[in-house]
Amino acid sequence: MKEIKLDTKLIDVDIKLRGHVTIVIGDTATGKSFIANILSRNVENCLAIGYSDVENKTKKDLILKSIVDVKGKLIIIDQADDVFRCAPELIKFINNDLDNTFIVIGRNTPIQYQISWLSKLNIENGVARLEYLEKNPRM
Amino acid sequence: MLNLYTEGSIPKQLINVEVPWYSYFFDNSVASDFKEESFRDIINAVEKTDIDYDEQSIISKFVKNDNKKYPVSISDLSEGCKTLLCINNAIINNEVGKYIFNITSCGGNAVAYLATVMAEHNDINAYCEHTSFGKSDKKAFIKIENVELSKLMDAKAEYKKLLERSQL
Repeated sequence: MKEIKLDTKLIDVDIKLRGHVTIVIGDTATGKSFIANILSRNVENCLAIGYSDVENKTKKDLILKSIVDVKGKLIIIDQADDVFRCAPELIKFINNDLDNTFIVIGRNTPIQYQISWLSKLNIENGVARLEYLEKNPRM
Repeated sequence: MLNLYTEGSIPKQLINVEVPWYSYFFDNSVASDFKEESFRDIINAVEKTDIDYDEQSIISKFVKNDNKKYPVSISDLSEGCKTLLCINNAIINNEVGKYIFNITSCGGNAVAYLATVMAEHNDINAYCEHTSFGKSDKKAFIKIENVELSKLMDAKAEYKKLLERSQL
């Protein structure tokens, strides 16, 4: 289990990532993209990918090229529904890549996942935590 | 009425708006509508945060207590909220009927606001790729393949069938 703890000027982060993929779901305005930005700015070796990074072929090719050989990175896919529609190549990449850790923020993600990877973001009193839908998974 | 389509069944005469808020917010064309009551209503309902009317800025709700009055820009709002603001902008400009809006970025709460409040007096065309329609006790104004539905949970079930058919 990978743990990320941050104490930033705006918010504290205390999240635990169970596997090589963590899927974050939830209503609008629950802070998903906000935390993606905080993580990408404050976690070393972190790459955040959103719709604007893959909206055209040039940008998409650059992103796909930039991740193909990386190892040990935290890769955040925000707006995953739209990102995967524009760059379906990322689905296969995530399914097969065990060298990096992924946080996928979306509602109808087409990647192969386990129920134990599904989580919701909870931000209370300036601290962001992930609450997993399956509290006690079989490891 | 909120007319819901899947991506494969969009009527040809409608302009398909991929992710509408990009073009709207990057050139700030919606920012001038800050004075509109509906603009503030959407932010208050979906974001559950306040607008500082004096400063004309939006107050972040996530930051630590010592930053309680931390203002955020329009582009920092949630994607679902920005999508609703863009639809609202089209309503204000009497252009909403021309477009079909991609509401995939809208979570259940934003879809609920769209279907229960914004679609009450306006015909809004939209599609999305999920069925996170959420629950709402308010009457929903929603139509799927010419079938009018009054509950979001019914719409969720109908839309799921439509999505499955479109993927065959």
